[in-house]
Amino acid sequence: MRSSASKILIHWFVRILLGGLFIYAGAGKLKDPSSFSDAIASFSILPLHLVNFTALSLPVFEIVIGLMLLVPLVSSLRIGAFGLILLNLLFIGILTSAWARGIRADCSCFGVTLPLPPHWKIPVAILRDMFFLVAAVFLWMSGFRRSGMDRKPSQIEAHI
Amino acid sequence: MKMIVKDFGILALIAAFACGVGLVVDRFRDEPIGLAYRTPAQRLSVPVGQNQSADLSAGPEENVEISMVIEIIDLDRLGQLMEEKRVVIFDVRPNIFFRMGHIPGAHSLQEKEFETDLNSAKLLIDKALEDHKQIIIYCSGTHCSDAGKVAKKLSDLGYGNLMVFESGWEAWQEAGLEEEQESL
Repeated sequence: MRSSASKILIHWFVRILLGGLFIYAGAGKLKDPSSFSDAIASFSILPLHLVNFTALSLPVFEIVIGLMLLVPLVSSLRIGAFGLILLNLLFIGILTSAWARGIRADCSCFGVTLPLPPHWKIPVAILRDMFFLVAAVFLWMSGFRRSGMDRKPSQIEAHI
Repeated sequence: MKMIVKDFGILALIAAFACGVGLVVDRFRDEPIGLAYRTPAQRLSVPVGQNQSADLSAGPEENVEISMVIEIIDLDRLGQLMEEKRVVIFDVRPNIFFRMGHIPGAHSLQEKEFETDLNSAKLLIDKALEDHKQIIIYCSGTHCSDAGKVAKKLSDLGYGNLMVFESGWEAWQEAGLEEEQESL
């Protein structure tokens, strides 16, 4: 009983933490799209004509995904967590590519510049995104299980 | 598998919605960024000071001829001005990066601590303008917006003779030029 309660607590803690972080990150970028477009351009990964388009739409996507994690619906959790997995895979790919090309950019992910030496910024951002990825996978599996996909009908009934 | 494909489809719809909302929100901004990307220096290429009054009481003396257009310069032009000793240089990156290395002779004027740092920088700027020198501002590189922000703030305070060294510290390091460091 206690273990079930602590599981629920951990589940909601991760959910609120991730949802809140992505809403915060999205709001910060939405507030200052010029700085975010500069950050995207500094990675030299997108053609310049797509930079502003991405800088304008990605923050809204992050906010919607963050909100979906906070809505207490199983399908919302599952889709939101799936979106977070895709986003974090994308971010890790971009950061790794930049790191491999020797680019010393600041991802500007939370609207702040990390007070780190330039060569540490990208590895630290990759580690952070990996942590988010693991948390997102945890939430997605949790949402997936609750959707009853990996349970027999009798088990679902028992759960209810 | 079916559910994953379905979720993927819903996410695609959310992405399309995000694109639409992002573009609409931008249209209602005071300064929309539009779809064409411009570097921070290009965004400054509009003569910022031209539409302002020529009240320089906050800064330089009135009888000194001062350009109110923020000029964007490259490494060659910076080198030329430094040789002629006609510059005062400000590094607007956070102090930790300034201490790790900066252009020789540059002073720190952090964008994040602008109001505080300006108190000590003000004397230098006033003296530089009296001596008809240029104020050069730089940050980490071409896509860093801090140099432009500081140039705009100084211009709004009535200071002129402002130049932004667009390619910044990155270009200086890539050129293998001499660096100055301070103890951390």
